[in-house]
Amino acid sequence: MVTVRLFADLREAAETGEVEVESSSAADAVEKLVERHPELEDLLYTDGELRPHINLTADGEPVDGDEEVGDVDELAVFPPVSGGLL
Amino acid sequence: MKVVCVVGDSDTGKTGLIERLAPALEERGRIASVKSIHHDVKVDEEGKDTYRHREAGVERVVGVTPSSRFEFGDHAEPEPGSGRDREGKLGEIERVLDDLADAGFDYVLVEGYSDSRLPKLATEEPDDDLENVVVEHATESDTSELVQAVEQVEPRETLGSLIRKAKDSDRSPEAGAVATFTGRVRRENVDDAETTHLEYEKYEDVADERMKSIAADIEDRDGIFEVVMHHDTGVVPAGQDSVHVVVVAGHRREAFAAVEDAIDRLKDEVPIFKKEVTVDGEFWTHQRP
Repeated sequence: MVTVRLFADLREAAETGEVEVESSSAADAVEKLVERHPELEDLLYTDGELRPHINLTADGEPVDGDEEVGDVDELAVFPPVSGGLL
Repeated sequence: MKVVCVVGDSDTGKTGLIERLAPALEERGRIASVKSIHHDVKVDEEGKDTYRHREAGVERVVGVTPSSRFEFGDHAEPEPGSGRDREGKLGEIERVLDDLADAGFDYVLVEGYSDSRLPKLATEEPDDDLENVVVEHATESDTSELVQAVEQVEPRETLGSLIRKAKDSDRSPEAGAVATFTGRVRRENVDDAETTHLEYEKYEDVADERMKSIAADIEDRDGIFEVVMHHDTGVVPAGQDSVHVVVVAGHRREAFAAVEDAIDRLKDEVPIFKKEVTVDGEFWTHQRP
């Protein structure tokens, strides 16, 4: 089991900041997440592909979708960070 | 600086809790206390010199004795949006805390201010409307548990406290420059509705680790001695500071370059998410049309 953390609009849409899923890779975890929370689909995917601005991290380190997550405790899915509007 | 309020009804042991916690914190750093008092306290006598200073119109009087000092004055006029409370209604405690942070205190124990958003140790079972209670039934907790709880609250920093920290942690004889950047919440953006406040959400430990690693990278450069960064989280009203970077360096050129790189990397790499709340509605910054 891996814990998937959600932030910002993803957390608000799912109405939770943490989801537990059983998965082998980061991309697979995101798919399972969307099965559980279909309301995230439009925020995470465009034409079946994970949207390019979505960040994935495994235990804090940035990863690609094909990253294996067998030994990972915590995945996180989040939009671009606070950005250049300061 | 770590701040906690000790809250509870009268005679539930607030002051006793502070008496128990203060010596334990004093071993770890400099500690101040603040007490909310609901009636006027007279600390000056008519006719004394300090009294006459006040009568003459000074805003703050400081008395210095051979072993101590005291000061008093009126509250500053509350400014709209002052303090970190959304309505700015707790302006005075916020200003006091910022002064204590500027002065370099590591811990502040506040007795009272149960209606604030500050982290709280509740002496008993807290009322439902209390926000941000970190320990309930605190009078029954071990002192070490209370210290742990204090250490875990989000630190409160000001530009002044961070400059102090940066200067104190590096006293290299070659350090000849201190440069800083402060980001504030802008009230007005061209073509946009007026911003009332921002809400920052942070991926806790991961954000802190990233900031540390950015600071460490930049400190590896020749001529850079210390890099300190801090980003507030939660609600930050328009007009207030939200992020600071302080660099201690040998010379100004490397100091300016380091400040710029540190804030650019912080904004690109650190998982902190920003929701902008305007008079017309709210949106996450990355969804901005």
